[in-house]
Amino acid sequence: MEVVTGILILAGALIVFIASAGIVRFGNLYARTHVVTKVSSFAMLLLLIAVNLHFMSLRVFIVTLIVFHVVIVLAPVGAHVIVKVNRKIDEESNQGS
Amino acid sequence: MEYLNYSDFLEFASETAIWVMTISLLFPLYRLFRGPGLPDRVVALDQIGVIVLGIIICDAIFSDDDMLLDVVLILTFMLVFGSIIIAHYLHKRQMEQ
Repeated sequence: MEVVTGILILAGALIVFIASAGIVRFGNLYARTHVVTKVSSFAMLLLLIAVNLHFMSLRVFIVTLIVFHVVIVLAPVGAHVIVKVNRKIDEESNQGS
Repeated sequence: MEYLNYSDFLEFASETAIWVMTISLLFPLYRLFRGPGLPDRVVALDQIGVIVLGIIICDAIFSDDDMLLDVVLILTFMLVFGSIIIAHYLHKRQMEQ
């Protein structure tokens, strides 16, 4: 059980590192939003499963469930609003020039 | 190599994960300082928040403390709603122009 928890933590840290590298490497705002929303949510899922395997209590399970649903439901909403604003700014700058 | 003498695998894994995520904190900071526009900086700030959440989760496993999960819960809500509110402010400012 301990080995599984450690492997999940290491995998989550590696995926967070890949997502952070992608935020520098990608040249477009839409690609960067894609990285932040999906890859980071997957890394958070791995880390929260590791926490549940380590503590094994009901309170930790409930708190973790709330955190996971906030990350998986509300973070894409914020990213969607930002992308919509950026698209309007792009359209205006194209019309102006 | 005296400092690599860990007592178990989980301690080593959580400390390594904390170091990896701390190094990966540099990439969104670069994007935060040199982003072309304001939405790029908002996305970089979102990624910094996710990395800090991962560091706190690994610290909760490393120090075997239940209470750090509550910090994760509050920080998730502040991160997501802060991102949505900044996007709403950008939208309103762009509508007034």
